[in-house]
This record gives sequence, C-alpha cells and structure tokens, in this order.
Amino acid sequence: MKVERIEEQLRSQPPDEPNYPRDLLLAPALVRATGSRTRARSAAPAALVAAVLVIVALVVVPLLAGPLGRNETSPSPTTAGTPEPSSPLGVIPWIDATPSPSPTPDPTPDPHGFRSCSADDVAVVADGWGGATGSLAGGVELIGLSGDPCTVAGKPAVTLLNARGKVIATGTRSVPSSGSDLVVVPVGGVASVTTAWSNWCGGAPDRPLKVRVRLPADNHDVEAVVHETGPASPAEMPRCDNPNGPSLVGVPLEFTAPERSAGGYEPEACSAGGITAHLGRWGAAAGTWYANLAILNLSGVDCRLEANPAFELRDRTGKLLLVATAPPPVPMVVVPAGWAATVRVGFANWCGPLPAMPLAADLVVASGRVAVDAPELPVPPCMGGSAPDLSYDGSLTVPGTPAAPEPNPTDSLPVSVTLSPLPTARPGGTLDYTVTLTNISAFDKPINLQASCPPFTQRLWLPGDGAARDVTLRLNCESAGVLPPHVPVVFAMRLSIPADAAIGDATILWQLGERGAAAKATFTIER
Amino acid sequence: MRDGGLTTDVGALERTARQVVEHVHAESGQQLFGFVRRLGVRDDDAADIAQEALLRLWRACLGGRVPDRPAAWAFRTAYRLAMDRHRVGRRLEAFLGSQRPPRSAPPERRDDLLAVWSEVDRLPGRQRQVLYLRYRADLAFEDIGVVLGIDASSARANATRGVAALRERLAGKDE
Repeated sequence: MKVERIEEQLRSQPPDEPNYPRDLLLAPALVRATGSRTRARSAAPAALVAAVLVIVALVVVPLLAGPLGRNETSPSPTTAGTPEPSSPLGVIPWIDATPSPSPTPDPTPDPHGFRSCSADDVAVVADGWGGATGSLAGGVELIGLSGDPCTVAGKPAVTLLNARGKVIATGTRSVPSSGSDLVVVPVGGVASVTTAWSNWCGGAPDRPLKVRVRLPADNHDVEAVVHETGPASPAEMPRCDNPNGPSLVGVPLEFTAPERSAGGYEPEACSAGGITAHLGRWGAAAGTWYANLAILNLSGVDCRLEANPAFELRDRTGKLLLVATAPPPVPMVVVPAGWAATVRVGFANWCGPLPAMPLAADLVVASGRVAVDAPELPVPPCMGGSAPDLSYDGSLTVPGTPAAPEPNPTDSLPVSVTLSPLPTARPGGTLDYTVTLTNISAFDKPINLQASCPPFTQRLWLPGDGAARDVTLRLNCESAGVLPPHVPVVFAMRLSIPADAAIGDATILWQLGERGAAAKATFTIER
Repeated sequence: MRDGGLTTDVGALERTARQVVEHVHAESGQQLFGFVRRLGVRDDDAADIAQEALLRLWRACLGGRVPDRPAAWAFRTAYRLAMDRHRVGRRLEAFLGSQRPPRSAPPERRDDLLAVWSEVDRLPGRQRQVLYLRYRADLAFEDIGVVLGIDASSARANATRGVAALRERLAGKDE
C-alpha cells in the first residue's frame, strides 16, 4: 500500500472507535456533540464560578533589552557563522548557525552512596482502602525526616492490628530488593508500597486500624494508624474466601517513589483531612533545637499550602505556648498527590517555668488543625532574658518535584514578523528570501540580540507531504546588534528545498523561538 | 462603575472560554476520546477523561489563561489523566492480579481502513500514540511533543518509523 493511502486511512476514524458519546457540559449551557446547545442539566460547581473572579494580573514580558541609545542595525560584518557576501545593502546577512545546546542538568548522585533507611530516619504513614474483587488495597508511605538522605528497596514486613494492638491480619517477612532500583529518601522525600488485605471472616474490627511495619534493612518495628481516606467505605471489609484460614495482609510490589503529578488543574488549598504532619528528631545547634517538619499530601489530588502554615506548640493540658508563623510575603507551595513538603523548625530560649509535659504540636491549615506526629518535643535551654522563640528556618519546599519549565523569553519578544514575497524554487535548490523584524515594544525599549540571540524555525510543508519539515537556526545576531524600537530590520534567509520535493505550491512558516512571533507564506516549486 | 467593568471582563472571559472549548470540542472531541481509548482506557472512562480535559480547559480559560494551542493543551491533559487512571488502577491490580479485559480480536481486514488500523495496533506504544495525534488529531510535532512529554524531533522520528513499518507490513496490498 502506498504511503499516501496509508496516511489517508490514518486520518480517518478507526473502524473500532465508537463515536464520542458525550455532550460537553459547561454551565449554563449544554453543548451537544453536534454543536447545538440546550440548557444545562446541572450548574457548574461553585469553584468554577469563583474561578471567574480570578483574573491573571500582568504578564511580565521579559525583554532582552540593551543600553538605550544604541541603534545601529548592521554594526559589523563579523559573525559566528559564514556571512553571505552578496547581500543587499541594509539586509542582515544570512548565516547557517545552529542554536546553542541547552545546558545539561547536574548529575544525579549515586544512590548506592547513601545508607539504608532505618525507622529513626523516617515517619511511617498508612492509608486505605480501595477495594475490588474481595480484597482491600492500601498503602504505606515513608517520609524522610533525617538530615541525610537514605535509601529503601524491597518490601517491608507488614502486619495489621486493631485499635487495641491485636494482630488481625498476618503478613509476610520483609524482603530485600530483588534487584530493582534503590529509592532515595531525602528529608521530605517519600517512598511507598501498596498493601493488600484479604480474607476477613470475622466481625467488624475495633478501629482505628494500625499497621506494624519493619523496613527491609532494619530490625525495629514502627506502628502507624491507618488513615482511612480511600474510596472504600469504612464498613467495607475483605471478602471471606477461606473461613478456616487467617486474614492476610501482603505487600505485592517493592518500594517506589511517588509518580509525577498529571497536573492540568488548579490545585485547591490543602484540607486538614487530606494531609498528615510529621516532625523528626530534634538536634541542637548554637543553643537552638531544630527538627524537620514534613507535610504529606494524602488527598489523592494536588493541593496548595500556605507557606508556612502556623505551627502551634501546646502543653499537656492543651494550653497554647508558642506559634511559629512565616514572615510575609507568604508564597504558596503546591504539594503533588502522594508527595510531601518540608521545612525546618527551630525552638530556642525557654526561660520560664517548665511547661506541663509532654508537649504537643498542631499545624493550622485553611480548614482546621492537624496534629503533628512527633517523637518527643523537648524544652530548649534558656539562653538569655528575651522571650522564647519558635520559628521556621526557611520556607516549605517539595523535594524532588520537577521544576516548572522556564518560559522561553524568545516567545515573548515584542517583535512583528514580515516575510518578503517568496520566489519560486526548484527541488534540490534553495529558497532565498528576507524576514523583517520590527521591535514593537510598547515601552519603546530596544532589544539587544547580541545579549541573548534567539533561535528561529523555518517550517516547510511540501506539496503532497502531510508532515512539516523543521529547520531551527539562530539569527545573525552579531550583525544585527540591537533592534531599536519601531525600526524594521531585514534579515536574509535561506532554506534548502529537498531534492525529492514534489512540484506545486509549498508553504513556509517562519517563527521566532518555539512559540514566538511568526509569519506564513506560500511559494511554488517548479522544475 | 468598577463593578460594571468587572462584570464586563467576566462576561468577556466566559464568552472566550466557551468559544475556545466549544471549538476544541467540535473539532477534536472525537479524536480526544479516541486517543484516550488507544491509551488502553475503557470507553466509558475515555469519555469521562475527554470530558474532564475539556472542563479543565474551560477552567483555565475562565482563569484568564487561554492556552496558545487549546487542542494540544486538551490532548496533553487527557494524556496525563489517562496515565493517572492507569497509575491508580495499577495499585489495585498489582495485588489482585486481575488483568485488563482481553483485547477484542483484530477485525478482519475488509478494507484498507481496517487493515491500516489493525497494523497500527501492532506498533509500539509510542508510535501508535504519535501516529494518532499526527494524522487523526492533526497536531503539529511540536504539540505532540508537548502532549507526550518528548522532543518534537522524537515525535517526528516515531511517526516516520511508524509509517515505514505500516508500509512494510502492508506491502503488496493494492500494489
């Protein structure tokens, strides 16, 4: 079958693909798949209405501006590439220069250089349950709280307990890694496994349930209350498959790091019911006690935290002793589902009478308070006559989350693009034309091309060819120098026409950067 | 007066958002649904994901953030939602050992359409996705790169390899 025929079929609806069955539901009108409108069956969520009121303020357009007063358009014939000697007067000559490669990221440290995690290094969180075909699936998450990264691999030993600490489901022993990758757990980092509970033939157990966990490279048990936030109802229990057999809890897969968020939606504020807070062990430095605070997002969707939420310290009776808050300005941090945010907390200079021990801490988020899981909260020594100090040492961060891609400043350059009339071209020949760039800055700011030379793309659609062909090069910035405001500057352009190009009309799109200013024109390919 | 101005702005935002989403729905709704299906998502879930992607596009537009390429934005969101659906599903399936419903037997090659799409189903996953987005959804390679999180050049290479493989496998048919 010919390629053209294959491509024609690929553009058609596959024979096994049913028609899209859904109407588009947008309040207040319902748009049918055919495009006609009827009244909506339901109103939009209140959040959507509220979102209407959120209007993005100003888009800061990064300008690659140079010093004022420099307005030469062709200061020098010296270029990084090979200049075109026969260019018309006033035209920036063509150079065949490829863009500089993107910088490579720093190498990732070898995880084998870190020690194995022990129970002292991490907080353990258990959650549940989702169910299908008779079993219930939950999870165990480890959150790094130690100052140094550690690693986990394999499967932990897991046992399920009722509220009184009685074993209600037996598990298996821990299993070292079967060769899978080590999961590095830095402070605030998360590693998790799935747990599965099956064959329950008794009555409803006393809740809250607990999970007893032993890490593969450790010999200490840690217990964690199961946060029953999953889709299964609290009354739902595993199916009784074998009345004479024990109830079992297993770990089917080895430890993994949380997956990257799918994103695509505006995260809402983290709720008290959707997060857990954990404090690591305290260490002293220069009279101040420090501990790492980690906040795990168990809600299943990304959420945003005010950085930093108030950290309240209370005595045994619940009396509020101190509050740590972040100084303004207060940024937001988005915590992806299954990830944790972390910050260090400092506590110093307690000179008053000893409070009623033990101390407890709460984290205040938008919708309420979350009890902070902490091993022990000490009272720091008195260092002077001033008041005690409880404070954040920095801002909340989410370790390991991929950074948002840097916006390409070229895409925001205030430039208009005009193409010269295109001549005819021959297969195997070149298309010579010019591109006129005009600095249309609303602030009459010059654009210094030498300071940051933008790339451009020539996208070519040949006759009968469904796919475009891209060539990305760099402008002849050395010769162009500075684009003064509102002065057109002409660049010579050249594009090779493939030898196998068909005869007919072709189209070229010239675009600055990846998504910057662009212009399109057609030309004819002839013998 | 200020309230009146705000109302006008909100009204303009709503109109813009509706126009953008209706356009994507009309032009690419079927392809959005079909793309998610070909990521291994069941029909009902694929329809839900397509609808969710369009709703998220609407929300983004209402927030004043109209994407440069709304269709590509919707495809990217749908792709991520589909991957999320698989991630959640894996958690349960890992223990339960349940398998996805067996794929229906490939249809008989009654004509070119059946033959081509049957062969597409046998291509590696990335090539399948790229071919669908390039030809069926008519996205540029740059947009496909954004949807799938790969370079445009990689998307182009996958399309080239995919078409070449189809041509080889369908050699002799109608020739």
